[in-house]
Amino acid sequence: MSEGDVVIELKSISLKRLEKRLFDRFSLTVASGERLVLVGASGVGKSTLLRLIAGLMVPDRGEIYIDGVLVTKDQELLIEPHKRMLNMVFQDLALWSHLSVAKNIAFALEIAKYPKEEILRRVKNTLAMVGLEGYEDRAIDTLSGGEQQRVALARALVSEPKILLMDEPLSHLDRSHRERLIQEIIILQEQLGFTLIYVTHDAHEIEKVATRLVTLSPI
Amino acid sequence: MRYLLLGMMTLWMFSGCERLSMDNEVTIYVSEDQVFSEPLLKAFEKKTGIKVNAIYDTEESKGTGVMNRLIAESNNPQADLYWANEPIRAEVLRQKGILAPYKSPNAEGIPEKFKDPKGYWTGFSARVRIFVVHKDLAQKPTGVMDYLHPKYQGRSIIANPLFGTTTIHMAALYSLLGKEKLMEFLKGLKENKVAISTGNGESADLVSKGEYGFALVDSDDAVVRLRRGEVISLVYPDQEEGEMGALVIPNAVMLMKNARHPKAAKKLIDYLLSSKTEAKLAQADCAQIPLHAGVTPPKEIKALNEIRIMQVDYAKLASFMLEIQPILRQIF
Amino acid sequence: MNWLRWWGGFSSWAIIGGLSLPILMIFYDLFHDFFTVDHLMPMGVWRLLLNSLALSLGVALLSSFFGLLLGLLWFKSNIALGWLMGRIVWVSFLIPPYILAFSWLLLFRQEGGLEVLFSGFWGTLFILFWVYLPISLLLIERFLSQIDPDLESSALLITNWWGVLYRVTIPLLLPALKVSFWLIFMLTFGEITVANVLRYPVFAMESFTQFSAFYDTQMATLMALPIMMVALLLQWQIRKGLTVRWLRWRAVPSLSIKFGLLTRWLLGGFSWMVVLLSLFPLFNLVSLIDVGSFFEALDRGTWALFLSFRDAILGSTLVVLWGVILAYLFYKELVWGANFLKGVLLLGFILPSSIMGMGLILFWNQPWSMMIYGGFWIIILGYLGKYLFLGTQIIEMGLSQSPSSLEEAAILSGASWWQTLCRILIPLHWRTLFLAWLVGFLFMMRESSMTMLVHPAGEETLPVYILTQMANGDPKVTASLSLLMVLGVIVPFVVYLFYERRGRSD
Repeated sequence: MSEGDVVIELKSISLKRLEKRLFDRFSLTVASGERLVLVGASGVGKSTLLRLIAGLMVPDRGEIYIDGVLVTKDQELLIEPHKRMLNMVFQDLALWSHLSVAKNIAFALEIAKYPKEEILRRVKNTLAMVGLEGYEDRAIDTLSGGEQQRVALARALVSEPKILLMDEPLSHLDRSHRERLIQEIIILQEQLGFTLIYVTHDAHEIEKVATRLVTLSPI
Repeated sequence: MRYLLLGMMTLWMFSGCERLSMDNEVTIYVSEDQVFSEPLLKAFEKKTGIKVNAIYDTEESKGTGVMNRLIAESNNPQADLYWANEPIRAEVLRQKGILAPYKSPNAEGIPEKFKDPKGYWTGFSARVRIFVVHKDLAQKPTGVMDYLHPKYQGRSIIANPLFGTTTIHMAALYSLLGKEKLMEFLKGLKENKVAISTGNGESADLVSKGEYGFALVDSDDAVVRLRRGEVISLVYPDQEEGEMGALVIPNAVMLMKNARHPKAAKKLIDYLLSSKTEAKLAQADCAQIPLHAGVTPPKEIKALNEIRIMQVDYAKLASFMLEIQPILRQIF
Repeated sequence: MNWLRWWGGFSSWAIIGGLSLPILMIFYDLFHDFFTVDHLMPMGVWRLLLNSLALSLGVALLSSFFGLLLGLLWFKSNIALGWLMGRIVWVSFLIPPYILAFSWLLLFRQEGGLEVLFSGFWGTLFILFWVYLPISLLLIERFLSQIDPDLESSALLITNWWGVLYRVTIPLLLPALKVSFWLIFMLTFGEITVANVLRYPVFAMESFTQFSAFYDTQMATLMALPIMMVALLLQWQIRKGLTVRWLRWRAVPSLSIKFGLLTRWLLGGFSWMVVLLSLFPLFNLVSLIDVGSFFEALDRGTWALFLSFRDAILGSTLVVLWGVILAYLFYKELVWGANFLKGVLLLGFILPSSIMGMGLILFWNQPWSMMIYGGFWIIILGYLGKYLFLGTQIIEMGLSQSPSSLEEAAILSGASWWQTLCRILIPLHWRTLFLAWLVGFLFMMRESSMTMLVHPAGEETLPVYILTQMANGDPKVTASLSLLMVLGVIVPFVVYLFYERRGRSD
């Protein structure tokens, strides 16, 4: 896949939740290597869209393609989420507090039954990538907000996804931390070459992150 | 997880062994108080080497948990025999077709009125319905109708007539006096402010504490309190010539139909009906009155031949008990 | 997920269906010759129904109200040792109700005229209040620990603590109060023992009378129907109390109300009076015993205590194991007819124990099932049928509090639903699971009515053994046995306290 090729395609997505129509024949393409920022009013469906792409939800109607492969058709999940070469950083980070930093990051690799040495190597490299060398055995609850954010990012990146979905990842952080992390996310994206879909309300983040902006409007 | 499953399988495999049929054992359900019955059963075990699996009744179920269990298990009986603390239950079970006849050789010395004529159940070691009277009560009651006497208003207590031996007593009164007089009596209890307790034991306790003047209880409840040193006296009701007499309630033992261990069960029945067992039960705290002639009764209680006994047909009392239930529930 | 939906539905129906077969047997027994049964309810029975409703309403209101009051005092203020007081009052729940009732009755009898006041409605209400107060306290404490302190902090900027309690804390506790109210209502509605001792005529008594005086299981079941209908109607009310999304899903240090020194002393004194009052039956028991009787009880009751432990530990462990799976399937809405299944579970909980016992006998006492009926597994099955509802509800309540993103992150990592459940959800919710286990354990330890109907010979649990000994047994020994039972359950309680305190200090 080269930059510019379509990596995500949503065709005529329709979805109704709790009597509210979120999407009505909505279509979207995302090119490889893009940093697409999604904006819109609260409740318009930004997080839902990320979940549809991730395969955590299914639309009422419509098709979703990833890398040219049909992954979701109407209400049927054709390709499971973990096989879609993507990962997600959640708004609340969704870190598992009973696991250490290393165990959080290594979880996907353990599930996939990677060899132990390989797991150790990749966890170490990913921690270094996000600036958390030596944090392997730390408990999640002992970390600052910024550190937790980096662990969430590391967990998403360890499986080397082609697509990274980020749902308001920096909303809990103060201005200075946010600024630093924005820079690091952009650098990582450019280095690793993944496609980024980023949800935010913050104008500064939009300005810094977006190579393309999509605004969702209520129906 | 796998060890947990393995452990559970092991427990599963060995758990059912207790009730699977084994030689040299017998299962008895017992309504007589465990404190009195258990020592006897253990003595039988020691003497014969036959393992006794006993299930006892509880105070809370008013002695009917085991009965209902017997009825529910009737299609696949677990008990080999049943030791009831009164013969009415025996009759109920006989009418439900759950018993098998067995005439024990040790039953020969027991008067006929305390046995089923066909051998479905045999009575032994009885109690007598008796008044316990507080020492401060100036005038002692002499008969059951004294419950209605104005001089005792609010000063007497009786166990709930809906359960236990008091129900049997009401059924006995019904058989002797008829429906109208029984209803008068029951209404009279309410009008004369007779207190209702949850059981004979509670009645006896309250009398001995002085809260009430007298109560109609079973003789074993009375003797237990006497032996504890509580200062009460005993009065046998209705003993004068022409009066109805005191109600005697024997224990009853019976063989279950399709018992898994009939031989062992018969041996245990023989043991329970023996004079030796009656002697032990007489001397124990339960102070039961022997039905075999010549066996020494408890020192606190008269021998059977010294008591004017109420003449009742225990077989008929079972159906009378069902007939009077609507009356009892209406009034209580 | 489709196969999971099918598997989940099948296994839920299989588990719950299997456990409810004895209940179906009872209804079959009732209805197969329905027209020969005199099923017209006597007029007096309606009065009993009203009595039961009044008692249930009174106990539920009182327990929930004081549960809230004492919960706020003990778990949300600077009263010393409040957390300990909240545990000590569980003693009333642990003592067999029959003995509890007699203990109080004896005291009021000694006070002469007070017995008249104590008998009947007020006495029954008083005792059942003490028995069920701990349930309300437990729920209040649990919900208090999940209130976001930021909500209260922001309110404190504009009002005092009275305002915060009135406008923020208590409204957030309403679901706990609701669950507490309905749970205690149901438990009281099926109550017989205490009402019988204090001579307050209740509806459940009618079922018991049919059962024990008439040996009529059919009529007993029929009389139990209104109890069960009330329970089923309440099921959707409880369900409403479970979806509370604006509580934090993990326990957080609660904001504490800081009383001044004098107020602390006064409220502390009041609190200890409440605790001592709740301990009165225990003091009464202790006053009855001597060293000799206690050692005799130890000698005679240790085996029965061991059996109680074995059955309760096994039963509550199975409740949690199955409860986790069922709760997850319900929470994920993977089961068709989930509300109906929950209603069946609730039916098992509310069904009078004696009826449940009869159902177990009717269904399992067959030649082909002697491996179960012949051993202690019949007791375990009875426990499961009765208490799986409680465990499933507690666990589902816990699961529904946690953000879905925790599972979604696991799904994206490639974890199956089983791996997500075992490696993520269960470890994260271990406190909820332990709570479900503990509640099941406590209920099973004190259960007697059903156990005494089905236990094999030599398998009497301690509550059953105590009741058999009560009939003309030495009161000192009976009291000692009861004390033994109370002491016996303190062990897991202490373990729970240890982990709880450790969790708070983490």
